[in-house]
Amino acid sequence: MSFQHNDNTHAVNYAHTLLAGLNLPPLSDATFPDIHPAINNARSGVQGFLPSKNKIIPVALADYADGALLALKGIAGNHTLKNNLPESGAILLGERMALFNTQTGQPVSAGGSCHLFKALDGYLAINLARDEDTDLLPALTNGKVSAPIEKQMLENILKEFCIEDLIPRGRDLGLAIAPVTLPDYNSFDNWVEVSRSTTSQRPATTPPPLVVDLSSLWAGPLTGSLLASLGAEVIKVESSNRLDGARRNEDDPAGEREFYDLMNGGKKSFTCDFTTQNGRQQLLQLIECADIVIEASRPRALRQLGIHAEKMVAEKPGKVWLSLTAYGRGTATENIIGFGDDIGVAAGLSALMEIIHGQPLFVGDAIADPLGGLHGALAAWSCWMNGGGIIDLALYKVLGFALSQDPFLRDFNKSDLIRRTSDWTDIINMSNENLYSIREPIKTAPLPGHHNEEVLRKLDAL
Amino acid sequence: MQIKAGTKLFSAVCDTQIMVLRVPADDLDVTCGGLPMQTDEAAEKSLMSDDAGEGSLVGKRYVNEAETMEFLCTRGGKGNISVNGIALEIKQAKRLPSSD
Repeated sequence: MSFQHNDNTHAVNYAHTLLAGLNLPPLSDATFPDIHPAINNARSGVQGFLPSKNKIIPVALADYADGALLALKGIAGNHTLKNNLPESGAILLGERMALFNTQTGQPVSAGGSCHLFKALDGYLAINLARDEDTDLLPALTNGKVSAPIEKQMLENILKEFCIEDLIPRGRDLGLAIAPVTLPDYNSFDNWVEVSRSTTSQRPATTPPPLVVDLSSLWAGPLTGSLLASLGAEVIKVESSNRLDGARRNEDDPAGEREFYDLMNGGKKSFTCDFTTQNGRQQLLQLIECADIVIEASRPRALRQLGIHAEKMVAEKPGKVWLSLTAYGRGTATENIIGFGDDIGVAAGLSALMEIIHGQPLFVGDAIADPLGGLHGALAAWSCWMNGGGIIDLALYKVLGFALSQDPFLRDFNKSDLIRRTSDWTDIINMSNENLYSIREPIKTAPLPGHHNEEVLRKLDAL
Repeated sequence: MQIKAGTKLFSAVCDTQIMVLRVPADDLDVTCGGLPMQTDEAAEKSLMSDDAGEGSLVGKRYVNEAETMEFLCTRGGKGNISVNGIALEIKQAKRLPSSD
């Protein structure tokens, strides 16, 4: 993708690049409004909601989101339901911030759990998303911090440690931790790895695929909701004693409930207890009959429950297994955890902000999540139409690959990036365009286990 | 053996590797498969001296009954982890995060 003007917009070019990565031909009749990437970023909310006062992100993030959705619409062909898909990909990037009323472009993530710290030799991000993550900080610092942990104390202690010491120990501990550094953008060969099924089978046109969605939070649920928009029957499966943490109660702010509805509104809800024999049996049965499985766990979690993606895909012709991980399947990376914000840091976004603006800052809201969810839907639907298989979708590689399409990052050129930042700042200051309007949920998400009876009846009938 | 948070321990009998998350300030006898765990990985493993149980599972947190100590298994193996002769138990998984 280049930033010179040509016949195709950035979004269309990126859609073609994504399709090429799946060995699919380019779109035959793609048209997409030619929006300047600076304006698309600003309108998407990825820079926050006071665009002129926020620091410009000089990369076309909103265009990449548009391109991924455009490619999905392209492969959905004449599918009448594709009109149910969101209008653009860009509008998905800022919708959680808009609904949660949070802000980006700071040293703390919009969601509030990911923090940038200064170490002896650079910056790093630590995402303390889970309550018990704080328990790991004494071990991370060789016992130098102890409970109760205050942020100031942690900040002071981390300054004594080197990045190359903290990152591997943090990852051993299961912390979401990433250095603020630019990766080698030439190392991103593709955005996804698909192992085609040996029992490859073209899907029947009807009925629509049955999707079992085991994921929680944002990326995986977004993929599931996009597949539901395309007519798939999606069953969201949760362990009854460990529900999706993004679920909200009646007394939570309306915006937070609305976001959960946007991600899960068109799905059925099934719950069972993964810690009991009976619950595990139901989970296994559901996964066995699914046409598409979406899961965003570390591979060992399902293996420890006796569920193996390879076996499942081999046993049912045409089955698709979408594995969303932070850094990819395979022994070197599959146990490393990551969430949307720290993966954004790992993919170089905060280092870019430091280079351009003199201060490492977060970019967007859990940016790898909405982008990953969009790319996940594209990968899953295309794999479903082409005979099934295992999709290894690493959020880090999705974001890294997208950024690697930018020639100023691939052949890193600071002065060009600075010039672009100043051009884009002028454009934003001169334009007075509104944010894209937020989507409205089509349906309210069902309560946990609302469809248990229906789903169990279905399993019994098999 | 005096250990502290962040100390990494290796089994003398199997692949098990654990990291100390929280320990009381006492001397502890941490064993795996019946033999004391070590701060360096042995080139050759010894034979397990107690009965093989379920072994250790990577990613799980192990605690004593009073939860005064906690270890994280960073590599699983065949040996069971015990402290002062009492087998540790797997700590139950906590709630998923509400947002990231």
